[in-house]
Amino acid sequence: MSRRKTSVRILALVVGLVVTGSLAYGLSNARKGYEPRQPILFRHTRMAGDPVWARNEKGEMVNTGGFGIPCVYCHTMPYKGRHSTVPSTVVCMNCHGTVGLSKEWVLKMKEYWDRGEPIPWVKVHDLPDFVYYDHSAHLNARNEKGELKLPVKDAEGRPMVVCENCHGRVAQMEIVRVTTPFNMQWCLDCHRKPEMKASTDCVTCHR
Amino acid sequence: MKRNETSPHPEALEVDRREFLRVGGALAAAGALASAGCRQPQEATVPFHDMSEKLVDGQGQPRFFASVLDGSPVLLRTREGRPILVAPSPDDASGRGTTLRHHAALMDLYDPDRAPGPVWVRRGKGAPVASAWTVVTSEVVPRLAKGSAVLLTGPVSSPSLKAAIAEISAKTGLVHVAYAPLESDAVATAWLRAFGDARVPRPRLDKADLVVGFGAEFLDDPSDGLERDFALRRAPGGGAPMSRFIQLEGRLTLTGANADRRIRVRDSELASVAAAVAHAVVIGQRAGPLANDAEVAKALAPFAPEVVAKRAGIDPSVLTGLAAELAKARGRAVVLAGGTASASPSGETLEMATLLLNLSIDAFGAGLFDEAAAEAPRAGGARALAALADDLRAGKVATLIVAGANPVYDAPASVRFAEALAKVSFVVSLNDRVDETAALADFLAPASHPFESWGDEALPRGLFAVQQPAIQPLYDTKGLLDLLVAWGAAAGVPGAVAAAVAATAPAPGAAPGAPAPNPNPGWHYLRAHWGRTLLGREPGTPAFEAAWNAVLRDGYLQGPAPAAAPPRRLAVPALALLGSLPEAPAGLELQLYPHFALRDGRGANNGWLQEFPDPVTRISWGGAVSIAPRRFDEMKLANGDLVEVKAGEATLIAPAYRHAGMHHDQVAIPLGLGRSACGVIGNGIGPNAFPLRAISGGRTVSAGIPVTVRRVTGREELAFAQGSDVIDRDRRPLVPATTLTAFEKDAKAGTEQAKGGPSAWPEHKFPDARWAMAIDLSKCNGCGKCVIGCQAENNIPVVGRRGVLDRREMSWIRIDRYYDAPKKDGRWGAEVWDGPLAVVEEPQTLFTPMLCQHCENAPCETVCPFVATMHSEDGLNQQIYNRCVGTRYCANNCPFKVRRFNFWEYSTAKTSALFRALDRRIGRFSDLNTRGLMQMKNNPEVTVRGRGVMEKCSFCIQRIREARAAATRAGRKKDHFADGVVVPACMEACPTGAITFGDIHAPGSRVAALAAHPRAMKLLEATGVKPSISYLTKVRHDKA
Amino acid sequence: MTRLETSPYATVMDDGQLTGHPIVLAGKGPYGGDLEVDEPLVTGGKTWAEVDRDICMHTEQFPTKRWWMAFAVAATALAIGTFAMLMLFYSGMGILGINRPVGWGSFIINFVFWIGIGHAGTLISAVLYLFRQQWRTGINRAAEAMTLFAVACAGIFPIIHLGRPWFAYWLVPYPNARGPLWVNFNSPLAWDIFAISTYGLVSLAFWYIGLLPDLATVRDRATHPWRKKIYNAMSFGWTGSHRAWRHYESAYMILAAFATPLVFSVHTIVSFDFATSILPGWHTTIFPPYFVIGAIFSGFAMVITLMTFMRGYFGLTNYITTNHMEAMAKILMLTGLLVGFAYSTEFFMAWYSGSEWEGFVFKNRAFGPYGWAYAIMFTCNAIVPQIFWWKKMRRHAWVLFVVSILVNVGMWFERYVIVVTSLHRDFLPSSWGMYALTRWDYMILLGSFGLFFTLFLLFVRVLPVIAISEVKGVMDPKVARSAPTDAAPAAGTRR
Repeated sequence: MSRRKTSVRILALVVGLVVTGSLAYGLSNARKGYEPRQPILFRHTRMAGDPVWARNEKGEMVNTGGFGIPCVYCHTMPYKGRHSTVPSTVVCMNCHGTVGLSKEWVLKMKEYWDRGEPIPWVKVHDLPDFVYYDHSAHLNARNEKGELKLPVKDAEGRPMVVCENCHGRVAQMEIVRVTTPFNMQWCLDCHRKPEMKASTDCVTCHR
Repeated sequence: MKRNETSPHPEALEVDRREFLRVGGALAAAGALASAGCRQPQEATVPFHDMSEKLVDGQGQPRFFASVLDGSPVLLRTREGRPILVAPSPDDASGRGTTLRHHAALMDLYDPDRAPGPVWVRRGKGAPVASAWTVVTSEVVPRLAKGSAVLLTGPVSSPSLKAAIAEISAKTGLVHVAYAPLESDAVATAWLRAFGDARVPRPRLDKADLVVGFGAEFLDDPSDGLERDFALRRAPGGGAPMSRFIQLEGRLTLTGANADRRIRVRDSELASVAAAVAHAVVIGQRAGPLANDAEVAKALAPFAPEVVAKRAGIDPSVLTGLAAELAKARGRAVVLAGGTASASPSGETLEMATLLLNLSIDAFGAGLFDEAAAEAPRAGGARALAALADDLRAGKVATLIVAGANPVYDAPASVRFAEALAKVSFVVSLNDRVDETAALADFLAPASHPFESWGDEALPRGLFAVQQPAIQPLYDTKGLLDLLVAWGAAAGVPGAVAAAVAATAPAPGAAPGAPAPNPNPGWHYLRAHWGRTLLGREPGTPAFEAAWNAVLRDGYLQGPAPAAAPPRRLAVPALALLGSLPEAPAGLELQLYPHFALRDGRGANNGWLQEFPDPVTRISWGGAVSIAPRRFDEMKLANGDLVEVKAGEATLIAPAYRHAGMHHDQVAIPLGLGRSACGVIGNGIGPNAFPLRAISGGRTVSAGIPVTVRRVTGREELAFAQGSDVIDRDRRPLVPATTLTAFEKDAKAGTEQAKGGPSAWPEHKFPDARWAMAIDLSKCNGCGKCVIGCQAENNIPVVGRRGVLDRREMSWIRIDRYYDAPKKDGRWGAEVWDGPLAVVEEPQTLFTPMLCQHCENAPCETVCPFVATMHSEDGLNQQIYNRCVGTRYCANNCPFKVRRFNFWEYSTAKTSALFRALDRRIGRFSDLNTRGLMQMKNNPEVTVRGRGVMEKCSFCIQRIREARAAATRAGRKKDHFADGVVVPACMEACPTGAITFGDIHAPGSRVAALAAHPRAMKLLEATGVKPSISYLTKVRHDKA
Repeated sequence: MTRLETSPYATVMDDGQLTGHPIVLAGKGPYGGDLEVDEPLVTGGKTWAEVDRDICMHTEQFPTKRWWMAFAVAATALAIGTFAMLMLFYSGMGILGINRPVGWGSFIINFVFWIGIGHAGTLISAVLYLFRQQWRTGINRAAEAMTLFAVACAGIFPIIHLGRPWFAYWLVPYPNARGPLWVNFNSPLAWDIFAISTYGLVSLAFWYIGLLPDLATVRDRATHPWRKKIYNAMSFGWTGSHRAWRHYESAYMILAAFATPLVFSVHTIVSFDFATSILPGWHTTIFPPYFVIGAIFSGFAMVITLMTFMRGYFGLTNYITTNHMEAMAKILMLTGLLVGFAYSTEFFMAWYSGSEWEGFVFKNRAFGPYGWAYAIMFTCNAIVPQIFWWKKMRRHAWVLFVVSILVNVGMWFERYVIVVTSLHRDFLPSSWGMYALTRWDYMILLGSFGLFFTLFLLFVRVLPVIAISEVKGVMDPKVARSAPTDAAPAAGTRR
């Protein structure tokens, strides 16, 4: 077998793999890495992140980190219904009626509030409309021993908020990004785990 | 990601490109390839600006409102403030029932053809111009104050509205005229003359062993809820013995179709026949308290059974036999009339004879009438209308206010209302659109839909219900009560009216921060009126608010018991109503019956109602001239051939229909069709038969009208929602049915069918729950509320007349109506399918609700190459729209033909002018489904299907999933579900409890018991598909 | 006729002189008895050079007016069909005649029809080749081309009959991230994809391999350098060397062996589309053989139609002789008989099964509202071809032509009857209905014929319509060389 032919063969193989691979990935419609711009630069690090105390130039101790606000303060309902809601502007105004009124983005938010317009947030974790995901069914799912089915510790064994299983460590994101594939394959990977005892019927998600 | 990368102008979303590159170049190609499957477009999620606290727990959850509509209590299901389903009120003590119109009311609410606001109609001279409330008020109020004004309404049963009108009349001399096109006052007259009290008690069909109907139509118009009681006694083995129902009638009505024995008598003879039966009971059988009453004997004398029977063309023994049965069942039987037959000239005689029968069989004494639920029948008011028309012509009326009436469309031609209307100087219509009457008015001041405005309703048994709005007015409209009260107050009406309006203004001394008072004067008036009359407290007091909220929650209030009915002793002079035997009617006679779904045609712009096929004729989108089969064949007609009907002066040309079971000398046409100004959906659908009616003796006559019918050239295809009418159950045992005699011999009778061979497929495993349904054909009366309920719950589109003509109906559940071919020495030839006279002249009607059978070995599942339909582990046959590519093989392979294909794009409007021109249907579908606010009715829990996708009954999967999620939330196990945890829309809508759904594996589940019942039958066993739905035998009570 | 001194082929024999009977050479037999020699397959005493000229001529000269007219007609039909398809894609299936009981309509009918047409080609080239039927050489090239174009037409319909054709690729089991989600291998529609694509590809390869030597011939005759280049590329630089011929022969043989089972498998699987359902009238075991026979039947009918054209237009009577036509007529008659037998068997089984559903469907087929369609089908397919019992008829060009057209009509209606009459009245009388094609159905049907003939007309313009090398192989060298103009044989001649 001449060297030329082998190289040709290898090339053909590589090309074939690349083509099929990219096609497969393309059709996998993975959402991982999706990071849209929001109308307001809302920093989850600031709101939900852990506090970091430091001295400012005036020498006062200030929290340069986050306020550690729990997810459900704004995103109500996930334990009660299908949807985990996006907060209405009045929730922001609970605090920002009085604080942070010098900040650019707070003012932006306040403009919306004063105009009486809702803020057109961009959906980040966006499932297709024919998928009927139920937050409550996942957050309340427990096994025979009565433990939550969703892990509450991450890979390194550090405790984490249940939400992070799908939404990633939002509290550490300047701009929220999809950190999981967020496609059917990914859903099924979990639903098929024996310990999950989850249904893989089509109607579980599609109606 | 570094801060400085964020765009300073977030609204400008041109950063897509960058983001897209980040996601990966390979996706570009793939994205194009998998248009829907791959890249969703960037979606916005828009929260409330300032969410009401009540919603914090309420988002994504349905909220329910107990309200009342057209005199029947209903339960409104709303999502995010949109009503999405109308269901019968679960705890309804009034006994009132719902009709199709209640279930389809959403389409009226979101009707895009409603007037968006006040309109200056200009008497039809020139195009209508949008106006403003200030203008209308300034035009109306002074005229109202000036007097000589008339308020023309439909029947008013709202106490507060009545009170308001009364107050206004007292001050301004406003004259109130109520006109109801369909009501004939025969019943009221007869009862008033007989007992001195027009109130009619409610027949207790659940107590009657024998029910005899003379043209009764309690199943065709179930608003009085009789069908519920009736069904309680229709199935064998349910505690009390089966009741037997004998119906005498001309046209085959839904009521007659459910009768155990049906005797064909033309409407004009019905009165005499009823009297003849009374004669046979009282004089022949000497039965009952009237037996020795000389007066009665004298009055009945002319109606000797032999004579009458001979004229009516029936065997005298039939009448005497019927009398004997009645006499035998004395104290356990009830006789009913009413319906269209009592709207014939001899209607009062009919009612009187019925009364005599009921008296002589002790129906009153034995408590077969619920006196507590007695109420006055709706007034027809034809006389008043005629008088009003004369006054208008005489110029006695300066101002006419029309609210909820449409006489230009539905008054008899002889009234010549339109012409009279022209004589009035000022006309304002309070209807919700520029309809036939409003088109001739000066102004249209559109009233809100009952779901948008406050009101109340007086129900039987002294119950009072509040009509509470579930949504803000969608258009610039005002509630009827609000409007009248506001105008009244402006016109200087003192007292409660003025007070109500005053209450809308903020209190003078109120603190600045205080919440503004409710701006609807109607609301204040209503509460004040309730405070005065029912709750006995002043609005605003804590006690009142508590009571009021309780009423709003329960939906109704037990008010003071109504006055006791008089003793049912016959007033002798009333016998005069019987009169003497009229001479035998000759020639053809016409019956004008209310369209089953549309009734008087008020909601004719409702796609669901228009598309609903009449349960007997199976005609949707229009109506036809029903002709008896034999006459039809003699005239060499085919369904859809045009015929001309001539009644007196008026003539009408409409397609002919071969109506099984129709009396040979009778033809019938439905009323409520042929609207010319109801909107894009209903305009010009079917013929308008209202002008054919006459007024005699102050009553509108819509039956027994002498008529001639002749064939004219031309055809108009009828939109039938069914293929063949007849079924030969020897060859195709698709409907389990039998007679009581046979049933008592063998409980399995009627379920015989060929057994299937062994299955090549491995058995399905159903570890835990398995959903199944049982339908009791003995209880099902074919009313079709399940069809509308399902359509509303599951976002099922309307396909329109062309859609039905093309056989592309979308309804997931349909009601097959068959005429049972009697055993003709075992076999019929192929001709049986074409409805031979022997079958259709005296038809035995069978109804089968047909929906996806969720077969265990579903033929559809194996043939779908895309795996779009599969079996779930809880026994559902799943249909996955987003995986379906539309080979339609599943539909071909479905033996029940219950799968529905989206031949068109029903969910989004197709706008290309070119293609719309190429096929006009494309435009029509957006008219029917996607115009204006229509899609607000959609249920957010159910996918709205696009074109090219197969769909079918899902057993209301969204409700099943919700039940499962609820179980998870509550930490319950999900292996089994108790009865009633999941109730599909059809079961919820079914008034007779014919449909039972549940987990067949759950311990003690009802559906399991029914599936194991000897009457249960699963269809097409021979094919081995193993349906999950069991049909329970229809048992016909044949024992005299 | 007896000419003792030389072989009968020495004389020029014209198509008109063919009798269909062997030539008797009196006393020429090995023991003095008579010797029977078959009539020549190529008449007119053609030489090799003439063969090249006669056949390549049509690719070399400017198209005739008649060709342009034919092409214009075909292209118009194609355009109409394309427009109708645009409408279909814009507005959905609603514009078609299909409805609830009858969920499959003209598209599936056309699909089965065209697949059927696509059978004769491979049958002629592969099966007859393996059975050493030399007369196939005159017609196999065109027949194979016809096969390819028919399969192309057929291939369109399963796609456009989908409610959402843009997802048709889901039928291909490719790696995906939906779980992954595969196609349903239980479904005959999934089998179709494999069956048809395989058949199409193998037929294409088979046809093209057969073309190579002839493409070389065209190249050798070409004068214009570009033309030379193109045909050279198309013929893969065919040299006609001994080695090339040896490989060519074996490859051809192998592919023939490949193609033969496909001829039977494809339509068997197409018949499963119906046979695996539970629908009375579809759910029958007779379908596979019934469909295959029907396919061959219709295929040969189409070949006859086309050959009649070619004989007439291109004066190829010397290569596609009356004997060829008669041979095909015989096959048509035989398969016609078999089809008729299948029809009657169906009826017998319907009665014999004693099943209400089966019995009704077949009664309804023959005497129900669609009896007319059944009558057309039965007459055209089972009765008309029986005219070929008479030799005169078999050899009569017009009779052949008319019968072949009738058979094609009949076969289209056979599919119509199978699809429509089974669906329109099945189990529940309540959901019975009727079916009729709409103008869009007709336009797309017309369009498929347009595509077919457009392709075929292009084919006869650019490629040799007869397998030159194979024809040369069945000529008598003595005659072919004897001609005065005999130059050095072209590269495309077998030695």
